[in-house]
Amino acid sequence: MKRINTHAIFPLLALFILILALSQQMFSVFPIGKVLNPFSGAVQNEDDRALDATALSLGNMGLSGQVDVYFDKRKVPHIFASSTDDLFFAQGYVTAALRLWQMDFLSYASAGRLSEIFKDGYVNYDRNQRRIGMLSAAKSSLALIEKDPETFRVVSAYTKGVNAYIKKLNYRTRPFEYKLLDYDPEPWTNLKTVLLMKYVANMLSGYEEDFNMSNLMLTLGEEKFNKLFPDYTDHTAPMMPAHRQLALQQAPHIRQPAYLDYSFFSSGTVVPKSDYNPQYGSNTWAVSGKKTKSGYPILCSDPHLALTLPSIWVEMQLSAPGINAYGISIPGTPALLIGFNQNVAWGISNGADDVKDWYKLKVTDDYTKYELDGKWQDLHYAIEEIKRRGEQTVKDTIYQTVFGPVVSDKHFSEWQPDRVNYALKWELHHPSNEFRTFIKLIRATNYTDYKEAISQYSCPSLNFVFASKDNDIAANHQGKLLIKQPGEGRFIYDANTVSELTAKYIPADSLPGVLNPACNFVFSANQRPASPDYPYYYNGYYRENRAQRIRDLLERDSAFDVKKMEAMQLDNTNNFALQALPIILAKLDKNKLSSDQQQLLSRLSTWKGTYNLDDVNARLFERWWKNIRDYTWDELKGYTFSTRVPDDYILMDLIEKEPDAVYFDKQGTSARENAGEIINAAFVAAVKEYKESPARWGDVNKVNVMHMTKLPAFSRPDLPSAGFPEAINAVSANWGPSWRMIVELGPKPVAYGIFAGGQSGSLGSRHYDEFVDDWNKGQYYPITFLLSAAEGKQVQSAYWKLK
Amino acid sequence: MKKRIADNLKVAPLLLLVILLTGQMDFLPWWGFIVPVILIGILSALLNLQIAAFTIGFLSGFIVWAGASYYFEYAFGGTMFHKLGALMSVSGIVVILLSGLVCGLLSGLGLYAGRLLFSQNRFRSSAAWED
Repeated sequence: MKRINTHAIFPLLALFILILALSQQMFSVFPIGKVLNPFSGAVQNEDDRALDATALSLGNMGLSGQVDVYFDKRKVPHIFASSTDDLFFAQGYVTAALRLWQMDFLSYASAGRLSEIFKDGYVNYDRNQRRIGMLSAAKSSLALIEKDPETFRVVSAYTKGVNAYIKKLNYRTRPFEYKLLDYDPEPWTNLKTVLLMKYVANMLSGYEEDFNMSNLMLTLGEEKFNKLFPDYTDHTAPMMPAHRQLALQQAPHIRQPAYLDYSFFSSGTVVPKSDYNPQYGSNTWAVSGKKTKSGYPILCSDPHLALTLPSIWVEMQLSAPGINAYGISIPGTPALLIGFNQNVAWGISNGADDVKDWYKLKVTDDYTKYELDGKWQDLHYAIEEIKRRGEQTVKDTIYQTVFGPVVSDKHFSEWQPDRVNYALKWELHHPSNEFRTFIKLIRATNYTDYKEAISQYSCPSLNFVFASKDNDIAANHQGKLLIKQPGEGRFIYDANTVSELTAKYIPADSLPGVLNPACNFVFSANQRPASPDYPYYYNGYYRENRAQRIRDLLERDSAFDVKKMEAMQLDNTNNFALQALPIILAKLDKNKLSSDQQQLLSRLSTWKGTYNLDDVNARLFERWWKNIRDYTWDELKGYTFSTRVPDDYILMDLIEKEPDAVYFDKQGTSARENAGEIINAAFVAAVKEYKESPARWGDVNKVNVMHMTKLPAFSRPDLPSAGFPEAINAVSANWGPSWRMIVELGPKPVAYGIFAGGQSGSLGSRHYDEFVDDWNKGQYYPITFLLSAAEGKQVQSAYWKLK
Repeated sequence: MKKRIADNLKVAPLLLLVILLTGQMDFLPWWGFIVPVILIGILSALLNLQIAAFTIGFLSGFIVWAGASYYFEYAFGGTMFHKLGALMSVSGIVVILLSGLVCGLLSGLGLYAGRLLFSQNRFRSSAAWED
C-alpha cells in the first residue's frame, strides 16, 4: 500500500479553492465555471430543439386526456385540450417552457423578494413593496379567488402545469438567468399568479399627483389652480360620444379643502419622486360592419407598456370544449388579456383613474396610536420578514390604519422620505378577482356574455372595447370607482376629516359605457371616459390627444379594412401639434427672424404634425414647444416642489385667448412679455438647439427594448424609431405599443398582430427577440387562428403531445 | 523521450473521452470531470507512465471545453457567447477561450494532483510538472 504524498496537498487545495471560486458569484461576476461549462452552462440555453420538435411526447403529468400543442412558424402555441382543466394546465406548462424566469422574477419583484435573488441593494425596494401592500393585497385577493370555484380551478390547473415543467428541469435546461444570477427556480404557486396581476395593477394604477396638487393648490390659490389645473379642458374626446355636444360645459370648480393650509402641509416643499409612468396607456377601438368594406366589424388594440425582453406578452391560442380563443397573456397568468374568438374580439386600455390616496396622520412617537377624526386609535402592525441572500433576514414592522398601510415612518424613511407618517389608501389593496373576467371573455359569444364577464372587474380600472360577429360594438369603463365630491382625491387627505369620506362606489351599471353608438365606432385611448354631464365626479390622469386623433380618423372614413387600420395604428401624427402649430405661427412675428430662421419656419409651417422616421420638422416643433412651455411656466418651475406644469391644451388656449396673461411674463426680465414675444424667443432658441444635433426624427427618437435586468448586452437598445408618445403610434424611449392587434370578425376571424419581442424568453433562443425589428418597422404578422386541432397539423413547425 | 511521447498520447485521448463523457451526465456537478481526471493521474503514476501531467491535463481540458463551446454555439446557431462577451466587454471568442481555460486549469491541476498523490519520489513528482 502506497502512502499519500503530502506534496499533493497543495495542488489539491488549489483545485478545491478554484472549484469553489468558480462555482459562485464573485465581485458581481456570474459563477464562471458553472456558466461557461459547455455541457450544462449558458450555451445550452441556445438549444431550441424542443421548439422545432416534430413530435415531442411529454407524459406522466396527470392530465385527464391528451393535449395537443401545435407551434406555428412564429412559435405561437395552439393548445387543444379535451377539458378546461387540461387546457389551463397546458397553458401553464407551455408558458413556463417559454417564459419561466420572467414570470418567476416578476413574482419576486411584485412580492418584494428581490433580496432573495440579489445580494445587495434591494432591501429597501423589498420593504417598500411590502409596505405599499403588494404581498398582503395578493394574499387577500387569493383568498377571494379560492371562494370562486371556476377561477380557483383555472388558477390551480395553471399552477400545476407550471410546476410540471419546473419538475422536469435540471441545471442544463433551466433558463439562463437562473444560471447568471445563481439561484434555483422555486415551485410555482397560485399566490405567484395573483402577484403578477397585482404587478400589473400597480404599474397601471400606481401613479398619483396628490402631493403636487396639494402644493399647487396651496401656492396658487383656488382661482389660479382651477384655471391652470382643471379636471378637463374643452379639448376632450370622451369615450361616450353620445354626449359630445355637452363637452364644452365647464369643468367643476375645485374647492380648496378646509384642512389644506400651511399648518397642515408644512412639509410640502418637496414632492416625492414617482417611479410610475403616467403615460402607460393604450389605444383600442372598434368599428361596426357599417363602416367596413367587408360588412364585418373590426377591432384594434395596442397596449402601451414598458418594452422589455422578454416581452410582457406571450401569444397563444387556447382551445377546449366551449373555448377557442387567440390572443396574448401575461406569462404567469391564465387565459388571455386581449384577444378574440370566432364570435367576439376585445381590447383593453388603462382606465387611468385616480384610485390611490394619501392620508396625513398624527401618530404618537412610539407608534402605538394615531388620531382619526379627533380620536386616538390603536395603530395596528404586522411584521414582514424579508429574507436576504447570504445574510440575516430583516424584520420590518408595518403599521396599519383604517385607510391602509403607513408606507414611510421614522424607522423607514429612505425610500420615500417625504411621505413619512402618511397612510396609503389604494384600490389595489382590496380583494379582487380579475382572472374571472378574462376566463369568461375567452368563452364569450355575444355582448351579453361580454357584459357579464366584465361586470365584477375591479382593479386596475380598464376601458374594455368589444366587437362581436353579429355587429355589436361596445366600450366600457370598468373598475371600482369611489363616489367623490369634485376635487376629492386630488389632494392629500387629513386623517382627522375621515368623517367626510365616502366608501361607496359608483354602481357598476352606472359606469361610463357605450353600446352601438350612432357613429358606428367606439374608442378608448386613456381619455376621460364620460362627458361633463356624467352624474358622478371622478378624476384621473387622462390623456386626450390620441383619443382626438382616433376619433377624427374614425369619423373620416366609412369603408375601413385591415390595411387602413394598420395605417391608423401606425399613425405618427401628433394631434396637438396639428392644433397648436397654426396658433403659434399666427402669434409669431416673422420680421424679427433672420433669413435662416425664416427658412426653417417656412418649412415647419407646411408640416403635418408627423413624427415619421425621416421627418425633419418634428424635432424643431418639439424644441419650440418645449421652450414656449418652459418660458411660460417658469414661475411654476421656480417652486422647489413643482414637478408638474399645466396641460399643453391649457397653454395653447392661453396663447390663443389670453396672449397678455401674466404667465407669459418671463421671470428675471424687466420687460413684461406677452405670448407673441415668448413664442418668438422660444423659436429663436429652438432653431439654435435644432442645429446642434441631428434633424431627422429617427436619429433622436431611439427606442430601447431592454432585458428585465437592464443589462444592455441582453437588450436591443438604440433602435431608431418613428412615433411619439402623443401620437397613436405612441413609441417612446422605453415604452410603447407593446402589442398591435387587428381583428376582422366574420365567418372566420382574420387577424394580424405583432409584439416587440419574441415568443421565447430564453436569451440564447433564435426566438428571443425575432419580432423586434419587424415591430419597429411597423410590420404585422398574419395570425394563424385554427378552427380545429386537425388544422394544426397543416401549420405546425413543432408539435408537443402532453399526457 | 519516445516513451514520454507515447505515454502522453495514451493518456490524452483518455482524458478527452472522460471529460467529454462526464459533460453529458446532467446529474453531475459542473466540475464532475475532476474526479475521473484525478483517478487517471493516480493511475498514470501507478503504471509509471511518463507524462507531462499538468500540460496534458490542461490541453485536454482546454480542447474539450473550448471545442464544445464553439461546437454548441455553431450547432445551435445562437449568440450566447457573443452576449456574455458583451456583458464582460470582450468578444465572444474570448469567452469561448475563457471556457477552455477554466476546464484546462482544473483538469491540469487534477491530473497533476492525482499523479502526485501516491507518488513516493519527490523528484519524479515534481518532474511530472516539468516534463
